[in-house]
Amino acid sequence: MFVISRLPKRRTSLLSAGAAVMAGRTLTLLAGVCLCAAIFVLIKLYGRALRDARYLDGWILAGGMVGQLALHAAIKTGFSRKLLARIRRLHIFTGYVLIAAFASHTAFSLPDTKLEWLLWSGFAIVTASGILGTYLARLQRNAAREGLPATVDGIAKRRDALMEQAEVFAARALQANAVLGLPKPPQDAWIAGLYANHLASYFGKPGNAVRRAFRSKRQMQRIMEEIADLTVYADTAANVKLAEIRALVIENDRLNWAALRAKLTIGWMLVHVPITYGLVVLGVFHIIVVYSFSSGAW
Amino acid sequence: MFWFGRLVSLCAQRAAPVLSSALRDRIAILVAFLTIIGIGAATSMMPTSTRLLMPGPLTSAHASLQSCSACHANSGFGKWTWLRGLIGGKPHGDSKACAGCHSIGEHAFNAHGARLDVLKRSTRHAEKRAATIAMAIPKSAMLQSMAFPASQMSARGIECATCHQEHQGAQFELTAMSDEQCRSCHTIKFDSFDRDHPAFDGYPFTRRTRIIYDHASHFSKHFPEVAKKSPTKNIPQTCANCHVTGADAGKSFMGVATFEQACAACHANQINGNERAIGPKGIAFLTVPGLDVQTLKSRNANIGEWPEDSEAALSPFMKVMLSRTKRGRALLTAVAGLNLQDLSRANAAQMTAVSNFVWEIKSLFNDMLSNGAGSALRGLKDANGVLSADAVADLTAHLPHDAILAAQREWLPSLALEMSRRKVTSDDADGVWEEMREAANIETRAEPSAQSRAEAEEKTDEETVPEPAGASAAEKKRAQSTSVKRDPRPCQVRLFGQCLLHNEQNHKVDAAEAGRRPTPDSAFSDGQRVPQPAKSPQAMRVGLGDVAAPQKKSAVKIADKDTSEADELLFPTADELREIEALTKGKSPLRAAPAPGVLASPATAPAGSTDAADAAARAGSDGDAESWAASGGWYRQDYAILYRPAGHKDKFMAAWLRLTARQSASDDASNAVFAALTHKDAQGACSKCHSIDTGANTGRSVNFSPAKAADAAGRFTRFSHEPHMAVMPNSGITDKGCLGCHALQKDSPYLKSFEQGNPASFASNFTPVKAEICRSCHTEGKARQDCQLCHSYHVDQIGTPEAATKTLLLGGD
Repeated sequence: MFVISRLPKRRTSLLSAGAAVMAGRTLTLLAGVCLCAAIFVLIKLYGRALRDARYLDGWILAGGMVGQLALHAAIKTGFSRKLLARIRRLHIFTGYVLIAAFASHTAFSLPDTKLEWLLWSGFAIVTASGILGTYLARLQRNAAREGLPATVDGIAKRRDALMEQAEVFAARALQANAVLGLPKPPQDAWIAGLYANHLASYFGKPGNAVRRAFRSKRQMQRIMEEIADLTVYADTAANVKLAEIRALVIENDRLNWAALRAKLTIGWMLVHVPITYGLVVLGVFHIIVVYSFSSGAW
Repeated sequence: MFWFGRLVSLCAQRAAPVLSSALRDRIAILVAFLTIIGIGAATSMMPTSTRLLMPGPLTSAHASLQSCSACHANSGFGKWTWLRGLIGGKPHGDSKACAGCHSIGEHAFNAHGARLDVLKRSTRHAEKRAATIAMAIPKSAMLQSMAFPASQMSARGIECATCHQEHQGAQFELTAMSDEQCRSCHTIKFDSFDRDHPAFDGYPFTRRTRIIYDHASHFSKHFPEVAKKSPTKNIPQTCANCHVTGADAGKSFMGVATFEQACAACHANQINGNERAIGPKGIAFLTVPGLDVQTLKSRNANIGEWPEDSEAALSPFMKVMLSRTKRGRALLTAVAGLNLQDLSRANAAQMTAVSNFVWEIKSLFNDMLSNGAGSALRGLKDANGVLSADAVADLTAHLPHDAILAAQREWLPSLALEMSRRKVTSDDADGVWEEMREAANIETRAEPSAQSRAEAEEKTDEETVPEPAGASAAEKKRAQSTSVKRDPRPCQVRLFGQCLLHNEQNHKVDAAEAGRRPTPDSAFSDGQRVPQPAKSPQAMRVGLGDVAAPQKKSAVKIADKDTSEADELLFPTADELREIEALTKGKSPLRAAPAPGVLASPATAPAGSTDAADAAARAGSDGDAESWAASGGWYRQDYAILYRPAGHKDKFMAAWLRLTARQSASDDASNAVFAALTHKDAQGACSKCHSIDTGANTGRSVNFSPAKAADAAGRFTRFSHEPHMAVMPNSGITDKGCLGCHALQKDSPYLKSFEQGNPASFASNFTPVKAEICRSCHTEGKARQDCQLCHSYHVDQIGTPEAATKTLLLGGD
C-alpha cells in the first residue's frame, strides 16, 4: 500500500509545498476512509452470505496485526531514512484502518467477558499509544526543525546551560548613569530578586508535567508579567537585560516541553510495542479458542 | 503508574534512544512471555477456566447450560480438552448437539431442512421463472454472489450456528434473519416485497383439493336446485358456513366444516345406499364362487361338496385373503384365466388347479370359523407392517362368527369333516405351488397333447394337494393324526348351534360302523344319488353388479372321488351322515333350528340381528336382508356375505381402502378390492368425494380428510387468515369478502383433474391470490414486508422432544 505524503513534484510545481502536503494528507485520509468502507462492505456481504462475519473481520484484524509486526521489524532493520519514513507512514495508515476492522469485530460494542475485555483493552491501549506515537513523531520532527535537542540528555544539558546563563545575567551589575549623577535606582536588586524569587525555580525544575503536556504557558506567563512590571521602571540598559532574560525564559519553556515530549516518547516506546507483543499472544490464543469452539459457520 | 514512571525515568537517564529501543524489545518479549504464563495459569488453575474463554453470555433460553460440552461436541470436560475442537471431529457435531434438545428433522442440514429432491425441484422451478421474468438483480446481491457464493455454505451443510449465533447476550434474538441472508441463496433476487417480489406462482394452490368439491357447480346448479325442491334445507349462505379458522392450528389455518355439518343433509343417503336404485347396497365380502361342478365331477376332480347353484364371483376381498399365502397366490394366478363356471375346455392341470383352489377357499372358510375372521387376514401387511388388532377389527367390521357359521352350514355343511380329512400341507413347500402355477399357465397358453393330458388326468386321481417335497413318514403320520383330532364328535345336546354335550358312546359306535358303511363320497360318486344340477339362476354379480333375486337353494352335491379305501376314521359320523342326507333331500336340519343371528331362510337377515332373524324365521318369509341392514352392517344374500356401509367414515371401507391403496399398483388382488371400492358406482361412494392420489413411489392413497394444518408442514409460505379477515373490511381493499382474494372460476375444469392420479396436476375452482392485493398493505411505511413474515426458514416446525423420564419402579428408589 502506498501512503501519499505529498503530491509528486511535477504536480506541485503550481502549488506551494504546504498545499502539496495538505493535498497528500487529504488523499491519504480519503484512501483510508475508502479502505475502511470497503472493509465494512466486504464484512457485510460476508455476513449476508450465510457466514459469520466475525470470522472475516477477525482475520482482517489478525492479518493487519501481523502486517504491523512486519513493518515494526522492517523499521528496526534499518533501511534508508526515506524508506523508513515511508514504512512508518504505512504503519500508521494500517493502524488507522485496523481500527475499523476492530470496531466491526467487536460489533461497535463493549466486551462482555474477561478474556474479551483483556483483548479489547490491549487493542485499545495499543491503538491509543499508536495515535500518541504519531503525534509525538510529528512533535519530534518540529523540534528538530526548531533546533531543539531530541534526547532527554541533550535537553537536560541545554537546560543547565540556560540556567547558568540566566544566573549570570541576573548577577551582572548595570553601569551607573554618568550624565545626570542622580542616585542609582536599585535595578540590579530588582533583577536579582526576580531571579531569586521566580527564575531560579523556573530554570531549576521543569514544572508540572501535566500542565506541560497540555502546553500550559501559565508559569511562563507569570514570569513574563513579573518582567513586564520591572520593565516600566527600568532604564534602557536594564530593559536590554530583561529582554535577554525574557528570551531565556521562552527558550526554557520550549526545552521543558521538549523534555516532556522526549520522556513521553520513551514511555510510548515502553507501552506500544510491549503491549502489542502481549496482544499478539492473546490474539493467537483467541484464534485457537474461537476455532476450538467453532460450530462451523465461518 | 508509579512503576511505569520509574521505568521511564530509568530509560530517560540512559538517555540514548537506541538504548531505549533495545530495552523496549526486551520488555516486549517479557510481556509476551508473561502473557503466555498468565493464560496458562488462568486456564489451568481457575476452577471455572473454560467459562473464562466464553465469548459472551448465552441467551436466556440457553442460560441454564453450564458445560461447554452441552453444545460444543468436541470440547470435553477437562481444562484443556476443548483444544480437541481444533482437530475437528464429527461433521456438524455442534449442530447435532442442538438436535439433542430440538427436533429438527432428518434433513436438518439441507437448506430449510427440506428434502434434497424438494430443493432441487424448487430450484429448477425458480430458474425457469427467473428466465421468464425481467428483473434487475440488485447490485449488492450480485456482488455478494460473486464474492461469497452462498452455495458453498449450503453444499457442505448449513450449520445451526449459521443463523443462530449464540454468546451475544441474554436478550439477543437468536432467530433473527435478514432479508439479505435469505436472498443470498435464492435464484430470484430482489430488494423488497413491495417493489420487486415476483408475481405469486399460483399461490396458495400447490395441489388439488383432497376432498372433491366443485364450488362452481354447487353454487350455480346444486344449491339452487335444492333450494327450489326443498326450501327447508339449509343452503350455505356464506363461506363461513363451511370454512372456519382451524381449531387445530389456531388462527392461521382455514379449515373445512365436517361432513356432518356441511354435506350430510344432501349426501348421507348416497353413502348408506338408500338412494341406490339398482344393484346391491352392500359389498360382497365372502362368497362361494360358482363352479362348473358337473365338469369337475365328470373329470373326477376332487373338490368335495360344493353348491351347484352358485353363480357368484369370487369377491375381491377373498382374493386378498387368499393371496396372503404363496399357495393362495399361486392358485389365484393359476385359475385367473379360467371361466370357473365353464370348465369344459380346461385341461388336466387347470382342473387340478381348480380343485386345489376350491380346497383353498374351503380352508379359508374353515380357518375363519375355527380361528376367527381375523385369521383370514393373517400375514397381510399395511404401511406400518403387520396389521394391528384395531386394523383387523376394522377390516372385518366385527364379522360375527354366527354369520359365517350359518353360511357354512348352508353352503358347505360338511366343511369341518372334509377339512379334517385333508392332509395339512405347509405353505413352505413353495416349489410345488410355483411349479403348479407355471404348469397351469403354460397349459393355458398351449393346448396340451393327448399324452400329457392323459398323464395329467392320472395325476388327478392321486392326492390333489401336493405333499411337501421330502416330507418324512413321521410328518405324514403327524398330519394324519392331526386330521383325526379334527374329526368332530357326535353331538348329544346342541344349543344355538353350539354343541354342549358330545355323545362319546355313539361316536365310538359310529366309528366302529364306519368301516362297514359306504362313505358319502362313494355314495355320491356312483352317479345315481347325485342330484341333477338345477336350472342356472340369474347371473349374480357380487361386488359391482346387480345381484339376482334369491334363488331356490338346491341340495349340495358332493363330487368327491371314491374314498372307500380311506381310513375308517375319515368317515363321517352318524350325525354328519344324517345332516348330509337331510341336505340332499332339501331338508337341512339347520332350517329347523337356525342359529341365532342367522336367518333360516335362504334370503338371510343381517348377522347379529337375532330378533330380526327370529322374526323372519317365524314368519317363514324371505325377509329383505338388505333393507334390514339399512343402517349398515353384515347380511347374507344367496352365496355371499355382504357388508353395507354404515354411513360416513365407515371403518370397514376406510380400512380396506387404506390396506389396498398402497399395494394396488403391484398386487392384483389388492387392486381388485381397491377398484371395487373406488368405482364410480361402488357402494359407499367413497371416491365420489375422497380423491385418490398416485405417488411415484408410495402407490395410491385415498385422501380421507381435507387439508389440515399439519399438511402445511414442508411448505415455504405461510399465511394467517384471521388477522387479515379482521382488517380486510376496513382496509378499503375489497368489499367482496373472501372473494376479494379468491375469485371463483366458473369455467375451471376442476373435476377433470381428478380423473388422473397426480395431485399436482389440477385446476382450481378459484383464481390464485395476486401479490398486488398483499402490496396494498405490505409496503414500506405500512405493514411488515420482510421475508420471514410469509416464509419460514424451517419448513418443518422445530419442536422440543419430551423429556425421557423413566417411570418410578415400585419398590425402587
